[in-house]
Amino acid sequence: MRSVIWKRHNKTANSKKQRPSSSRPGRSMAFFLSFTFIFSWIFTLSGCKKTNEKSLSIFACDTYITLTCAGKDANKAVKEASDLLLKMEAKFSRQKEDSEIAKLNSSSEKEPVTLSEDTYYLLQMAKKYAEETGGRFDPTIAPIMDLWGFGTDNMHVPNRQDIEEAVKNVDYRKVHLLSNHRAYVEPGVAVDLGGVAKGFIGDILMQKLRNFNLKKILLDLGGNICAWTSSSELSIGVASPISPNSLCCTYSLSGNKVCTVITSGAYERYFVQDGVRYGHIMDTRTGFPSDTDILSVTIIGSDGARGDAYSTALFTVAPTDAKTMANRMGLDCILCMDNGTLWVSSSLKGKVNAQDGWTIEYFD
Amino acid sequence: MRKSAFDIAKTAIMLSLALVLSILEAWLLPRGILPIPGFKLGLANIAILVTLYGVGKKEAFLVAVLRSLVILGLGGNIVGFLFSLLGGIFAWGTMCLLVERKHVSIFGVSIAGAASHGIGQILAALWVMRTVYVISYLPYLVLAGSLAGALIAFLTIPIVKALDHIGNEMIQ
Amino acid sequence: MHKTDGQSNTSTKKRPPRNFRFSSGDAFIVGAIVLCCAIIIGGLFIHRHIHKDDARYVRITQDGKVLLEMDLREFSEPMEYRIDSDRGHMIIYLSSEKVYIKESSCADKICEKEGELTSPGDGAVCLPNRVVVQIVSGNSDEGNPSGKVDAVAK
Repeated sequence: MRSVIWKRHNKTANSKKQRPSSSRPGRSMAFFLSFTFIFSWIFTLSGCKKTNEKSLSIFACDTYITLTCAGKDANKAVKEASDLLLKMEAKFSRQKEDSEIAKLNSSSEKEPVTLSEDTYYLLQMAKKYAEETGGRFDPTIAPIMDLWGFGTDNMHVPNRQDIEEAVKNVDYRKVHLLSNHRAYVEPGVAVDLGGVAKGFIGDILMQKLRNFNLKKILLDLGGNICAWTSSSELSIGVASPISPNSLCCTYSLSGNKVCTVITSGAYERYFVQDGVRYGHIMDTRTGFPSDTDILSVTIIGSDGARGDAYSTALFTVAPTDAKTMANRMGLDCILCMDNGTLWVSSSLKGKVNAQDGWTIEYFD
Repeated sequence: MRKSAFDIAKTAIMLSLALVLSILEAWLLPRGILPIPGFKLGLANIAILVTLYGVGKKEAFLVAVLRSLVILGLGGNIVGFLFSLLGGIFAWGTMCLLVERKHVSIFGVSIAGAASHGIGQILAALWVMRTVYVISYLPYLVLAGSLAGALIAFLTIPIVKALDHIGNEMIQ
Repeated sequence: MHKTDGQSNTSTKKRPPRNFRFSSGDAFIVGAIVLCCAIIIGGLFIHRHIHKDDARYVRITQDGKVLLEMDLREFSEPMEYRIDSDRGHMIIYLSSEKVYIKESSCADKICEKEGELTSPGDGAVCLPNRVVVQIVSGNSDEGNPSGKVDAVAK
């Protein structure tokens, strides 16, 4: 049946009876079409971007990290930076069983562990910062954090005796650094570099990224900002510790200078038990969450690891002590107080702008 | 006038062809494989076009509506039915207006039909989703549909010719 | 019987012309369609260009993958967006005015404490669920917080 149809079809297809009365599109038609083509081209072209900006966000180092680069090498730079980031993450995390820090925590005087250069260096720095702050920042706070249940779904006020017991082991002097990148901890001591690792990783990434042909580098490591720009100004906001998603002040960063802006505060990670609010930053001497009039400490400088450690330390001391400490160390900082005042280092004059509801008081 | 049995047979065959083509298309191009949501080649339109040319307008309407209904009955969802029904009716209306025009070939009929199908779909989407922002899909849906329409016309020509010749054979 | 029927039918009924070649009318139809589409696309483009500053999009990503990206104006009535994964679940409230994380299975609930997200640059991150909810403005394709500041230290 089918073949028959096709045969007939072919036969008559040759005798084309009906021809369209007019098969040539008119000239107006050609105009019509070319007009629409030009029309659509204009729209396509006007959509082009001027600068090549690349942004990448990843979950790493127990936080959310956004890497932004602008300039010729942006794509390549972001790719390499993220690779480096993931490599470093594995080394410093205490939670990962096979990380160097986990190995260090299970070491002893008889069996020290050999660390990689980065980890050893960071540990060295952490000890140095601890010493400089008189133990206010301490990389061995981990057992206390575990006791309070921070980082787990069981945050609670622990037994007072347990805290008193655990706080004895919070001492950076119980971490011993030996020659040849070897180290060990005394029994019961656990190291967590969380307080400096993010700052340090930011520094390393920034160092790496500066080798590329870029116009702007902006790293956001879970709220730790590292920024650099070739010419134009950047504006970095400091989160308000009172109302989420708003700012207490902004800091303008001038061109061609690496700058890290690091804030510590207990306004995000906290829990409430029996009507009392417990933040995640501990007073290293009592083992209880630090509770002063300071709501957050922001340190601005070129060294991220240092800023990270010091912002934690300043948060735990009394406000007036924080000022003296900042001056003694030569830190540029913004102390956000619970009465709506921002205490700002006088060296930052003219660069910090308070937002509505906040007033600036300079100190030196 | 009594309906010709030949016409009834043709309509019935075309309805089943429309169904087979619908199912074939769903199988060949599953949902989400094409970049524009709601866009389809519309192979079933071959059958509707053939009916329009070879039988008549009413029958073409019947094929379009029954196809949507049967697909619904075969386990389609009500939203999809609404989309295809409204699209189908729009396409049918436009094609009826153009089919007897002297200067419009089967290509024009099919392309305009496909474009109207897109408009019908968007109207259904407007009603279902209750947001005017679906309109931003309209131009893309219509443009892609027009291309598909040209392809459908191309595929339909031999079938219409073949049917004509079966008809001519029977007259002789 | 068949023959007479077919004959009477085909002779009396007006058959559509068998015009199988691309003709002037077709060109007109194609031109009209393309022009209409170009005008609509152009209109939408201009509309978006004019209103790009007040356009706010909500972008929800999990593990870097975009789950949802929508203009807030499209939510004529509020809806709740649910994310279920092996990490846990989340419920995100979406409306034309604001977005917030209504419920999360995570331990620290930092994301819920972020509160209402309203303006471009606002965002909430849930680390345990690896979910990011951001409000981005219409004039930046990337997810960087636009508006007044380039980044926020917290």
